[in-house]
Amino acid sequence: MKLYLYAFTDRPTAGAHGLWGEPLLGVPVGRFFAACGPTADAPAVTATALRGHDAAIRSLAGSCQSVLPVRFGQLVEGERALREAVQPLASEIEGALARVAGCEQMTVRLFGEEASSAPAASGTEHLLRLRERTARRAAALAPLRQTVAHLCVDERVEAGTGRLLLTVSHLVRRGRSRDYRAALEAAVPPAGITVSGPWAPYAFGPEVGL
Amino acid sequence: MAVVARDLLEEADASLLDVIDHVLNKGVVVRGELVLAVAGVDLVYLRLDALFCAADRVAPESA
Repeated sequence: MKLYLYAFTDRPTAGAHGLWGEPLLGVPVGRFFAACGPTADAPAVTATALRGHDAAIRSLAGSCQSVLPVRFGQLVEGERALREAVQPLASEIEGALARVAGCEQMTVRLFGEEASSAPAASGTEHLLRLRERTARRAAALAPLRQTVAHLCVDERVEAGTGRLLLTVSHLVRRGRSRDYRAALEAAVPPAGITVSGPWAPYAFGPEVGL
Repeated sequence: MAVVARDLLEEADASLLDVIDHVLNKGVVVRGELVLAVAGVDLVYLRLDALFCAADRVAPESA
């Protein structure tokens, strides 16, 4: 039987269920656990499956202090294959689990004017565009950081394309997401910014493999 | 007052687009079989900015 992976946790899973309603197993790997469910095949990419994957991960937060989500679609052949796949990443996963303990993620997207899609007429113009884009990103990020610095444990920033300047993921203590939203609503003009969360800390795991 | 973790994570205001971006584009990747398909087309990697036009290809819940 194959195992579909949902998350890594600091404790065995208790009462959590997966995409197909299956009780989740907590397979011990070193000093943490891999929360997974037995299945024959990987799920197809449907809205139901995506929401179900997320719901299973959220349910793990009820019994675990640290939950590190696994990306959708990760399937292994069984417990042995699971350990072989995860063991080389154990120290990175342990570190990430310690980092996200007692935390949840807020995700902010900062939008601006669309970058020109026309090819640059020269190398100089290309570099000038890059510099302008970088400056816009920095100008958008600074007030956000200042506003929520007192709530943030950690941060991940990802550059966007088109109108999306940046995606900023902030790790905040569980229970502080309302304060995070309130701080942003009070300080930052709503145009050009979207906030979502709380999420499990999707953006704070090590990206390795594949 | 003590905060119950389950309550916290159940309050998310999650649009489908947000779910797609977090679940498909983030999270730990381990070695294993990765089989993702949308409308019969194998799919390995998605980004939010690509999903403005691709989200309607995610199969409806009744499919």
